[in-house]
Amino acid sequence: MLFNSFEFLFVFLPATLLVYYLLRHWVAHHAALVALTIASLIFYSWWDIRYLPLLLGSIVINHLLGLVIANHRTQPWLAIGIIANLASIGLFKYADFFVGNVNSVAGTAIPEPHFTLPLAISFFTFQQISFLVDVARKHAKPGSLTGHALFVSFFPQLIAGPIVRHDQIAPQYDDAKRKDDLAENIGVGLSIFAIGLAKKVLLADNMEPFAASAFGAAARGDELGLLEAWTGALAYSFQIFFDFSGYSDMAIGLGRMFGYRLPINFNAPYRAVSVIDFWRRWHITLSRFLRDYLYIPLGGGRNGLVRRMINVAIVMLLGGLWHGAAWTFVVWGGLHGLGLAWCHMLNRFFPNGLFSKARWLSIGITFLFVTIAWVFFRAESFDAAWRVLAGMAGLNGVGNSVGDEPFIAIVIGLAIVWGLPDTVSIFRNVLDRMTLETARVEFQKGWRWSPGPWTATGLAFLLFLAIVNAWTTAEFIYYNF
Amino acid sequence: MRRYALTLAGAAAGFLLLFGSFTFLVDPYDVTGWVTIDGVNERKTRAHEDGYRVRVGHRLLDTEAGTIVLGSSRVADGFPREMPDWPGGYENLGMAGTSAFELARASVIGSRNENLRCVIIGMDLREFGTYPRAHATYWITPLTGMPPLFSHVQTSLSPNAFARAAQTVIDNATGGSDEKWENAYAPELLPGRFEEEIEKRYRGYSDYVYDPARVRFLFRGIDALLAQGVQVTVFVHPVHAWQEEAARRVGMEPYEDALRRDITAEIAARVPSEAREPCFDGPALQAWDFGGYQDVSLSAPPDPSGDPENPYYYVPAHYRPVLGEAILTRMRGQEQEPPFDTASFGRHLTADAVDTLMAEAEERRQAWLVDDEWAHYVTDRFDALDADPPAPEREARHYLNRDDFRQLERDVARAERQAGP
Repeated sequence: MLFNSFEFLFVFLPATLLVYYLLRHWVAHHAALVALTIASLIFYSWWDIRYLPLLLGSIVINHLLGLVIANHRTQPWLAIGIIANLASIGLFKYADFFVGNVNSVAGTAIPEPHFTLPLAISFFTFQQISFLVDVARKHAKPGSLTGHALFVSFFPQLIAGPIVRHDQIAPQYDDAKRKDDLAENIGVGLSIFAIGLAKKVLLADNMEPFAASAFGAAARGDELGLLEAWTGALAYSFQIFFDFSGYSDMAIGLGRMFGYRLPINFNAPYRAVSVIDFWRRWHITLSRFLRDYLYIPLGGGRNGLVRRMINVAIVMLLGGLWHGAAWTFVVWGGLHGLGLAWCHMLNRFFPNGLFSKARWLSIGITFLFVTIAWVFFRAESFDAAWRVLAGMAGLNGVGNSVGDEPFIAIVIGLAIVWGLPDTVSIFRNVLDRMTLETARVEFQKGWRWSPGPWTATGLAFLLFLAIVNAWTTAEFIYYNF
Repeated sequence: MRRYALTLAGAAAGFLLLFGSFTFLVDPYDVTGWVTIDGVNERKTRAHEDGYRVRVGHRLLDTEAGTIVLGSSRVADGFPREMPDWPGGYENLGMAGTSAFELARASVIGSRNENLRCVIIGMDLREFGTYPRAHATYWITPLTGMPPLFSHVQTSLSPNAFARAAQTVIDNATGGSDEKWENAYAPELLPGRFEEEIEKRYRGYSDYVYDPARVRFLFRGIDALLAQGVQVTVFVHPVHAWQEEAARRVGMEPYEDALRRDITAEIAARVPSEAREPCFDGPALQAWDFGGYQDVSLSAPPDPSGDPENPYYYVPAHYRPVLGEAILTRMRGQEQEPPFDTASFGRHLTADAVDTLMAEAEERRQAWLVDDEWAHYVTDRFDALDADPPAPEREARHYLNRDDFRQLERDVARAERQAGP
């Protein structure tokens, strides 16, 4: 079930909200949590019920491990838990990749198992690992099984994040005495949701054909001209941003409708002045996860510049692989690793940045770098990526006209990402400490949300426009990871 | 804040309700028929504007006909609307401007209808070009896989459907209609349209790119039907020789060859179990080729006066139902009157036969070019276009994306699981 599908918007969401608040008001907080957990499991099963046992198994096993770690001893249970989680994701997500590479290197013909990738496995596995580590570090307590089940399966963030840490959400679930401000929950939550849905439906889905056209042509072996390659790459840059940040906005908005605060995941990433800055603004909860559970345990920046660069490279290569089981994702991660290392080195000599007097230049160069790196992320093979890059480098000439539409779409995309504040800035006045704490937020100038009649009518119209244009119900890009 | 939340939720609901109920009640695509008001929506003047997709989507799920024909406007216009004597019932479910993507999805949706026993799918290069994968209104139809009720909601909340609903009301109120569409096949216009299509097709085909992935996509969708024991018969359309010639003059002959080879390769890669109740002799999945300069498609264009008409074609791209009926008769192996009795009208398309079929078509073409006065006329026209080529109709190329394949695979796998081993 997609957030932009009609069954979600008109049946699942209203029904779940109704049941949740009725139970909370008339029965008990715990009953409402149970109902929310069941609704989340239905939401997950809607996609493919065969993988529900995997999710339930993950919940039960990790909860038991959490209890053992909290009440007895950390090792070997933490190691077992981490290995078990990595094994499950390895089996379902990387088995074909691993076997394919073994076959290529060793000349064997081991059949690839072709497991179907269970929805959301990358996200809930990371949450489970963070839970076990936090319990071992005494940053989190296991709590009840229902609380754990909801921590993993809460439907707004189950499929594609934000990656929520146990200590961020569990206290909210456990707080049975808090009072619901239904009007504020619905007012703020639905407003954020409307903006997220509009990003997805009105922007991302309209960028998709231009990106798909260029990358599709490259995948089938066509040479791309300068125009087609650049419009394709830029369209994809905007598509993935509006798609994923739209999803995150919707997740935060949905969480808020139930009274729960989820951490922000994006903060105008295409306004970043460096690659370091980009990763503080893009998929913030993943960056935090990689930092806290991989980079710092590896030593972080404590042992000199070289060691720091190596750690950054390891983190980004694995981060790339997390996105997909293909070497193109590894190269994408590697490019960002190089970019981060380069920026860290520059920071030693130019603490205020290379172009401290021309911030726009830093933003432009960073955006360019990110766009080029996205080529490896989107392309279905290295051959296809090279064809797009060759086109972008002008090696095939200007090429055929691609019409006006891609240019109009790109200008609109640029105007939005560089001219308008991102969701977090728009709602800064009503976002709480919990939501904002994941980001060292630098708010952009511009419109701020306030609860007036014109704002309500305008956002209602935006929501209406997004819903009546939500025909294609194109999947979210990060559903595939 | 309470007022804000109420205004936000209420206004959004109000916008949706007003917008959706208007479209639902007018029913521009003539699907529900719930409310009919004289002077408002009695005449469904825009029912054709979605190429019949909304209706086809619903009919795929609830038709009681055992045999359906799927395809583009060549099927919608070129096959009979009704065939009362067809065993088990027959329904024409053509969709104007369809694509391999839509046909694959239609196959998957059709596989859920237990009444279906035979599906016939017309195709030619148009369905496999790099055009948009689906018509804009495809997304509001049950073809996407959503339940019929949601489809009604989505259709009602579609800007396209709303625009058609508004136009329908205006037409009913003012006595207007879509005259261009209604008169498209008016006899007096057909000679001109035959003539126009020479350059139109030449320009349209000049930028054509064949996408073999669409053949794979379509046949993966067909697997859902085969899994349910439905007999699937695909065929290449008998377009008029003028259209075939336009394609060849801009270098599309290799694509014609590739399409046939890809179709036969897909068929050869499958070993479907026997069809439950086949309509035609032969395997559960078979292909026919009605293309290629056979007698019918070499028929003379309509007289400039419009009388006599060409008996088989409206325009080079669109044939008349008499030809569609002859195709069905040929598939059933029944004897026919001339010119449908010739060996060149409808041949089984198999991997072994592709070379022969293509060679024979080329022979017939060469003979036509030498002997036929209209061939000389058309040749002169194409020579002139070659000498001073018009600008090709360039469009952005569209390819099926990973999500398209994933969703199809998921749905077909589900159909196969339900069918059992």
